[in-house]
Amino acid sequence: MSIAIELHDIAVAFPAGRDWRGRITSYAHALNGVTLRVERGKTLGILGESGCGKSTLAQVMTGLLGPTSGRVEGVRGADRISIVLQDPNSSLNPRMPVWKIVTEPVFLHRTPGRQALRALAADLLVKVGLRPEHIDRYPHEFSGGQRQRIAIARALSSQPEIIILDEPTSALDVSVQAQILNLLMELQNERGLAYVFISHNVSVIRHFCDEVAVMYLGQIVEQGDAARVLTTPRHPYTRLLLGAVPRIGHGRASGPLDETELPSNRTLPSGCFFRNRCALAAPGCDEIQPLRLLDGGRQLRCQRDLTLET
Amino acid sequence: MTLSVPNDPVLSIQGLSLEFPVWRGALHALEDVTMQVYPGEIVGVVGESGCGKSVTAMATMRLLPEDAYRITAGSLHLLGQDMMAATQAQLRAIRGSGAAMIFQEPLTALNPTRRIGDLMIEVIRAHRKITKADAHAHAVDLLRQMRIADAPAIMRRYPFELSGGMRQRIVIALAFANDPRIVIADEPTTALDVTVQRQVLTLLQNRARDVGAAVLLITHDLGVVSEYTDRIYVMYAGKVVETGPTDRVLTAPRHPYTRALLNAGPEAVAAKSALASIPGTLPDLRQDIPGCRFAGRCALAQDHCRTALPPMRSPSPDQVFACWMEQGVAA
Repeated sequence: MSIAIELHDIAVAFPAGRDWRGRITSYAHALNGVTLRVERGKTLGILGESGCGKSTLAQVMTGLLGPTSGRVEGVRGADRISIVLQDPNSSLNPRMPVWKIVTEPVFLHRTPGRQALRALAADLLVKVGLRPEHIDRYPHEFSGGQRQRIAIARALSSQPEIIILDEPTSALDVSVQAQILNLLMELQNERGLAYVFISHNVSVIRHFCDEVAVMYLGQIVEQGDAARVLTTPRHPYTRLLLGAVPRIGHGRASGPLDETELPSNRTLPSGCFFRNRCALAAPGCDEIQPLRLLDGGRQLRCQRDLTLET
Repeated sequence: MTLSVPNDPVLSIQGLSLEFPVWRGALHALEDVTMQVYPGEIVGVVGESGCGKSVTAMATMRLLPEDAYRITAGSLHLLGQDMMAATQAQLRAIRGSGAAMIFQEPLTALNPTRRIGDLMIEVIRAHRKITKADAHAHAVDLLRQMRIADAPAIMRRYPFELSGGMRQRIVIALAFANDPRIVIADEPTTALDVTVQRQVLTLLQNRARDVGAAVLLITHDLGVVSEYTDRIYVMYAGKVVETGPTDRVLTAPRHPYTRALLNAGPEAVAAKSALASIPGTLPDLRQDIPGCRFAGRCALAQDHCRTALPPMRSPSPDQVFACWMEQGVAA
């Protein structure tokens, strides 16, 4: 097992407010100390809701954004890390033919000539299940699922070691989502790619990932084997999140209604970030919670341990 | 739990076919759609993009641009009013009063230049002859019903100052402003996080129960219909392919499309194994499709599926599906 990329205590704060002289008066704290590693050939899932910092994390990993503090080690460079974004309608240039879109990551580093690029594009389209004769078409001539295949072909073109998948299927219908997830799994088996799969969809992460990191307000609150974390969650936030997912064939919704809201990331809560929403908050939760290592390699940012209590 | 209420339906769509004229032809968006919603029930409409669920919602309130579509067959009655024959005055009397609508994106549904309170008072006074002070009190009460804690302070805020979940609660509060008998909610929680989705849907459901309003809940999420609806209509390419009590349709689907849709989700198979995707794409709705619209993607399709319309079959009084196979895909 070798490490593809490693993040050490990454923090990112964006200037959010300025006074009349342009001096920064407040920050949005997007990431607050994230440490994680991605192994070669494996899939790490990043699970969280809007505003938890998962897309900022993707930008830090790809090098699009420098962290405010912390270190990134391992695979760097745009040709070794690719990214597939959520919405293929906006991530593909509508004025470029498919062959140019797909080979752009290669073209930026070296210029092998038009014929070579077209041949590469045709190969890549076949890999992702599109027809090689469509390399001269434009994005609008394809359906949403096909466009996402083009985005995947583009991510593959520079022969990367890591692909960051930032909500790659949330704009797609379930039947198309299934096609895209199958394709991604095939490509991983074939090429030994490492994936970072960012999603808010619990069942997709459970299905697709080896490991999962659950994020809340710019921190990892629970991390470990995806199947185990998502069947026996031990952090109260993971529990809240899993409990909120509507499930098929389990009858009508029931149970108590959680009425709490996500706090702002402008002024971070003291102590445990989840404390004000947590039904189990107890003395000691007003202390800063470290991520502690439990059995089976699971990490938990909570002083209590739900499996032992309920 | 079947709800065959002996009342007249609040929404009745009979054999509705609707098309959008396009260059050299027409896009057949709805074909022979029949739907009923009875007082007090929550009915789901599920399907993937392009299946016609939003067109159905918009047509119900006659909100589609008047010169952009044609009704080629069928009828649509909302609260007993023939919506296709209604005058502008009749439409105004129904919209926002007896029937209300909730859209996907609460930020675009709320006027960004006006305070929440002003907006609510305007909507209330559009349908009732009451003073501003009374309307204000009613608005505060509506917000409290949606479990908004500091209602008078929220009344002074602008939409951009509030979170997505709070905005959608305000939209729902507005929908209930004039005691509607039916609320049409088109993907009301698609833009929201799951924890917020649960809050919003539970509040919507409880509010509808309290005032006895029916809800037509349009969504692509099978989990949502499973937990929040009594009956469902499954749509594919502009047609209703299956309908029945939610739990029955989702646990014992009869139509091949319903089953394929259920099987395509990651919950249906073991982790890391291949998912059962539905091969192919939606048929081109500009073409005349003589047979079953799902035939091109159906693993069980026979020759006659492509040439002749499948019959409607009813294995039990309240479940109906459209398929050439007598028992459908029942195990």
